[in-house]
Amino acid sequence: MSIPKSDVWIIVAALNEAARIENCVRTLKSFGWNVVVVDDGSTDGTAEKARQAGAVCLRHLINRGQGASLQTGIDFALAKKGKWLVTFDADGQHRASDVPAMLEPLRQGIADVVLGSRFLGSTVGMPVHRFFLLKAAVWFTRITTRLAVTDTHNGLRALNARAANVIRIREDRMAHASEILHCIASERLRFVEHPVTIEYSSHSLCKGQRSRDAWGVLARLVISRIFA
Amino acid sequence: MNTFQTVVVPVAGLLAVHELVAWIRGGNRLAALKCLVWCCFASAVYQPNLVQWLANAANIGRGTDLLLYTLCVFVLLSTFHFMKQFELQRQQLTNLVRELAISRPQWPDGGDVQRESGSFD
Repeated sequence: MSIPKSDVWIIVAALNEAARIENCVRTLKSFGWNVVVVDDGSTDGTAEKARQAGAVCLRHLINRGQGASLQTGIDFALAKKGKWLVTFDADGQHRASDVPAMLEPLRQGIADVVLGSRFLGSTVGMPVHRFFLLKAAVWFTRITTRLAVTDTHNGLRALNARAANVIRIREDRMAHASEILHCIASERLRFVEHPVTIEYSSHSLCKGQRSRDAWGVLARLVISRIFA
Repeated sequence: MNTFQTVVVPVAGLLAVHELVAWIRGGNRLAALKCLVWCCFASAVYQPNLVQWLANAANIGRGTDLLLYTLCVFVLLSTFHFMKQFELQRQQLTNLVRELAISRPQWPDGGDVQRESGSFD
C-alpha cells in the first residue's frame, strides 16, 4: 500500500527565488503532492510565481528566516490534516526523486523522521571547505545530541504528523537544523537517514550558508540554551 | 555642596520618590528596586566618602574600584535582561507574522479564497 499523494505536504521556504521556484514547484507537483511555499518576505514576485506553478503560498510580511518559514509551513500543513510532511529547499539543491524513498520508512512505521544525508548519498560541486565545515558540524552534533547522524544541515527531511507536532522550531534562522536534531534526541523520536543527492550551484553557494555563518549558528545554540 | 551635587542630588531624590510612589501604588517590585538604586546614587553623590567607606568595608580599597566593579555587574545584568527581552519579542514577532501568513493563504487557482478542507488537488 502506498501513501496517498494528497496526504503528503511538501514545505518549501523561499526568499527571492522567482527565477527558480516555478521549476521547483512544477517538479514537485508532477509527483501529485501538495506543495506549500512559504514566501519569507521576497521582493521579486516569488509568491506569484509559486502560485502560478500550482503551490499554495503563505506570505511572511517581513523576513523571519528559514526556520520560521518551515514552522509556518508545518503549522499550515498540520492544520490541513497533512500526514506526511517533507521540507525541501527552493534553490534547486534537492532532487524531488529522492522524496518517495524517504517517505517509505514513515509509511512502514519504522521511523518518525527521515533525514536526508548527502554523505550517504552523493554531492555535485561541493566545495572542499564546505565538506570540512559540514563534517565539523556532524562531529559537534554527535557530541551534543548523541545522535549517530552523518549529515546535520540537510534541508531535505520527511516527518510524520506525530513528529511534526512534537518538533517546534524556535530558531528563526539557520540554527533550526541543529535545533531539529536536538529535538529528535530530547523527544526520543525514531529517525533514519536516507541517502540523497545535493547539487551545488553558484546560486545555491552564493545564497546558502556561508562558512562564517557557522559561528552565528553556534552562538544561537548557546543563547537558546541560556534563554530557553 | 558643589554645583554637580546641587543639580544631581535633588533630581535623583525626585526620581527615587517617583519610584517609591509607583511601588506603593502598584506593588511593582521593580519600582522598589529602582527607588533603592536612585537612593544609593543620590547618597553616593552627596557623600562621596560613603563610597570609600563601603570600599574599605568590602576590602576593595578604593571607592573608584568599587564603582567600577558595581558598573561591571550592572552592565552584565542589564545585558542579560535585554537579551532575554529581545528573545521574547523576536519569538512574538515571528508568531505574529506566522499567524498572518496562515490566516491568508494564497491558493493556486482561486485567488485568496481560503479552503477549509485538506489538499487542494
